[in-house]
Amino acid sequence: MANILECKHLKKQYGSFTALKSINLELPEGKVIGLLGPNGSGKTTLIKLASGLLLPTAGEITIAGNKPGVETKKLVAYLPERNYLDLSKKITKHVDFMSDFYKDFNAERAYEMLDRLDIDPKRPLKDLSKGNREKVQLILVMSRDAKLYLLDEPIGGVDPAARDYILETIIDNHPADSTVLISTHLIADVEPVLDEFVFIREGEILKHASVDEVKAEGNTVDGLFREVFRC
Amino acid sequence: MLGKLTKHEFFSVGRIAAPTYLAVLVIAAIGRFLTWLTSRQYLIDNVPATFVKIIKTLSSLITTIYVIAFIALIIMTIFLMVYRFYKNFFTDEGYLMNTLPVRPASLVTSKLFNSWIWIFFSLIIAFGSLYITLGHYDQLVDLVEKLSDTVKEVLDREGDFLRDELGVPIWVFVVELVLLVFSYVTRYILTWYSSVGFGMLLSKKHKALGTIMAYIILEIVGYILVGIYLAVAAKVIPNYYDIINTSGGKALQLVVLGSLALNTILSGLLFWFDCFIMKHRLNID
Repeated sequence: MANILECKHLKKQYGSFTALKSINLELPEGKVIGLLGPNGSGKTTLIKLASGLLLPTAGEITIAGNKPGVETKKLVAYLPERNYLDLSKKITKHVDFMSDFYKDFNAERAYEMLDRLDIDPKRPLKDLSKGNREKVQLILVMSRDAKLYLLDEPIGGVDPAARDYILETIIDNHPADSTVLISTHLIADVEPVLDEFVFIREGEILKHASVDEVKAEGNTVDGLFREVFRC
Repeated sequence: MLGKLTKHEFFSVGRIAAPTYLAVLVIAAIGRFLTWLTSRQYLIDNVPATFVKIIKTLSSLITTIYVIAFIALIIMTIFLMVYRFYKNFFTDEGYLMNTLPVRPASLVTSKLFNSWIWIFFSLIIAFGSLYITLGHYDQLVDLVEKLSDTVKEVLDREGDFLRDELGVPIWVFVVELVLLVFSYVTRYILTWYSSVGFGMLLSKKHKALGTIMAYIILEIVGYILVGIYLAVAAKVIPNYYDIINTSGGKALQLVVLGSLALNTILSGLLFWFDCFIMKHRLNID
């Protein structure tokens, strides 16, 4: 199976602070992978590097064999942990925007998902609750048929019911051959949907394994996380 | 993709700018109506003096509001252009814009196009509102007509002389002047864009202050480059000082074309700098 994302001695420094310490990582196609680590471990930096928002200090990161740029951005659907949409615009305008820039964006699917949530697309985002705004952002990302989904803390700061909805939306809507990288520190919530996981701490990859391996050892990812990250 | 970026930006700016522009025209129209009303002798003679006084006060008030709105129109347009650049690329919205499958050059160009378009619109609105406000004054209409006649007369009488002096037909010189204004506007906009990007590097906490500091630094660098440019021009152009000292027309041509070339070079540098920051130094919080 080919790799959708590869990091070779990837390093990122902000001034004197090293966010990523020469990491090596290979993520295969067609998997749901958890990028798991405590706050400040380098998860967001790795995702920003993959999405082309940051450039590495050293080493290399590639998406489908290419360095982040215009071509890789066509393949990557990115959900940042921040609200990145103009709140004053109507949802329909955001759908139009995504349709214009991403050939793989499926507007029909977006409207279906909005309809299921009873969200009126003619309303501006500012009229929605915080939870619904986050769902709209997720819907826009998951309405793409991307090769790689980079989801940064998609279930952070939402109630358990919303977490279920978000995880269901992710699992139901990504194409089978795509890879979904979910960054989170809420291990128990994401564990049921993961194929693989990556533990990251202080800019270093501690472990990259399949969930089945952990299960075969009679453990859980959550249990292993608690062992590895014990304070 | 540039077309799509420009289109979306046009409508985004329009949602904010259009109501303001419309408001300026409406204020101008109300002012004109009140001025017309207070100049009607029939009204003055047949309605209570208090009412006339109220209308006149209202008319003065509207005129004051119009002057403020007129100034705000120009300032708002420039501020909006800079703010849109900052908000779209360097705040949370940057997570969307900077991950679009387009080159940074296209992102900057789309903003620049919109700045040109909306500055042009603001000028039309400014002149339109001025016409609504002052167009009915016969003296003003006469003045504009006289000015136009004088220009025509001078061109008829001195056209050949001017052409010889300038070394180019008059219409070419007019085109040069238009391009010169355009190049200044472009340089000005790009200086602000670069200041926003540079300002983010200078100070992450005080972004507005960082932007203003960056603007001052870029202006100083700009003046230094102008000095170098003039020094090089004096060395490279044969008889540079003779032209400057003896021929008014040729000196004017030298200044216009020189400034045009300088603005083009500086605008190119600023554009490259904007793209460089967005590609290599972007770090949204």
